[in-house]
Amino acid sequence: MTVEQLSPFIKNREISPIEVTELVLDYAEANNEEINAFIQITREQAMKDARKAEKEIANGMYKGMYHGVPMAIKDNLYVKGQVTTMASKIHREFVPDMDAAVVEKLRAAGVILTGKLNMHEYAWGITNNSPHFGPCRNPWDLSKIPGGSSGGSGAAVAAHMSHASLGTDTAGSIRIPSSVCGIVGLKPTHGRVPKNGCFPLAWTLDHIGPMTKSVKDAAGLLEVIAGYHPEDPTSVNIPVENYTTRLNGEMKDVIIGINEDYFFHNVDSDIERLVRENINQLVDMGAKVEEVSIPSLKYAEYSEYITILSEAAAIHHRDLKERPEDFGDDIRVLFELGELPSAVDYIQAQQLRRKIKQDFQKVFEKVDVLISPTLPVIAPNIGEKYVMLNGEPVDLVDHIIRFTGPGNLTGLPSLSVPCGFKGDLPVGLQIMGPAFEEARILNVGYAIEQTNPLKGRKPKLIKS
Amino acid sequence: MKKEIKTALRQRGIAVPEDHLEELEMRWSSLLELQKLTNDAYLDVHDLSLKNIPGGDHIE
Repeated sequence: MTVEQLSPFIKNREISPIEVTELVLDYAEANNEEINAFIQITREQAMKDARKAEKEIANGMYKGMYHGVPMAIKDNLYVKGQVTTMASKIHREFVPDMDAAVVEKLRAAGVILTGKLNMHEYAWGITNNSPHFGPCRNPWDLSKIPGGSSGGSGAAVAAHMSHASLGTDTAGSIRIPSSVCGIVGLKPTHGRVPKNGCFPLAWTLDHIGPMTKSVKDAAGLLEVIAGYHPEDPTSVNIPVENYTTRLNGEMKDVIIGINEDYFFHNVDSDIERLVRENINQLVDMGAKVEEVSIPSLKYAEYSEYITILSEAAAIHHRDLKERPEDFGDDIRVLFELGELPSAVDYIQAQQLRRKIKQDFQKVFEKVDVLISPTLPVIAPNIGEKYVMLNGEPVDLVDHIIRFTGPGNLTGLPSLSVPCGFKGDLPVGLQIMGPAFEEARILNVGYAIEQTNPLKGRKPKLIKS
Repeated sequence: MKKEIKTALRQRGIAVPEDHLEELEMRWSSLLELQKLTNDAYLDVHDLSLKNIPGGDHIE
């Protein structure tokens, strides 16, 4: 059940937050052994918060769509007094003395926090194959990765172990698991959602955003977590819109931009076919398509890599010198690699980044949104470093972030929505828009959702 | 290139396990290949990419 479907029952007191929370917790506990989406389930605190929510609603103090809704969040978001691990050995017993700004906002909206979700260690990877907490598994096929780094969030929402979740995204870490788990994932504009109290991976690329079962749930959750915060230097003081009321699926005046050279180059042929079919459906609804050129995208992979590697290495420099054996081997190599670029390399990567931003700005003077596949490949098996792309094995990390990385470099809002299946695995379609135009990309995602691309299919559930 | 990588990291106080060097060499070589694509980017000194916000984090 989506939050959109659940919340009227809670509001009208036909379902109690206590009942919902108990059901979700029972279900999460029953399935976690196999999915391994949770690092920690906080039943006692969740039930206490559920009783509080029930009392508030009974007293006529209903706070909105997410009031009384149980939700688990990624384990790099600080919850005061609760262990927050970043799925690492080094922070295995770290207890923050503050709530993240987004956690404060969830609490203010009446959300019931049910626990902390598995992730790729320090968010620096896309497999969620944790050496410290075990691999998280894709609910559609337990032998496959759930994507990452917010893989626990993707798996928990897809497997109904959480009604919605928050993820973080530095090169695609919301959109990648959303795509491979068949859910909706929104990376908002950089600065739209405050990040204080979120353990960083790379300061200038990091974002926090909703991971949900429907576009309307994502819009509602963005309303909850968005807003200016003076303690986050990257926060931007622009009023938060009422995103849910902007969803009408109207495509008549929408111009869709397509960039063939970068976003449709070297893509799994089935994924490409599905994305083009969905674009054609939007055209049938009245949208127009225009091909666009973004020449500087050829610099995007270099600029993204130099930026993320350097910033992440700076954050973990001391631990890499003093206790390197406490990192998982896969991220230790990436931190070592991040020590190699020079300061000049980093600054030139920022100059390239500005060129890319300027090119995107020009594109959005001509078109309303850009549509592409979210990923060029489907989820590989757990433990594989390579993935098959049209019959050829290619490096997993290099390829899986190719289409999501530009959204982080430019800071532009990017949404992944399910658009069909390749075999038994869901496929995601990415919609990018101009800065702070989340409402616009959500509405295009909503139009796609109305065509029922998943045809009602759900992961084969394990234990009820 | 493995030797240069090992030396560069050692100078920064970082001990690299021998079995990391092959992957480091492969990934660093890929980055250098990607860097070649940027040779035509004509980065000008007046391309402002880093900024300094006066007085603090935000202009309130």
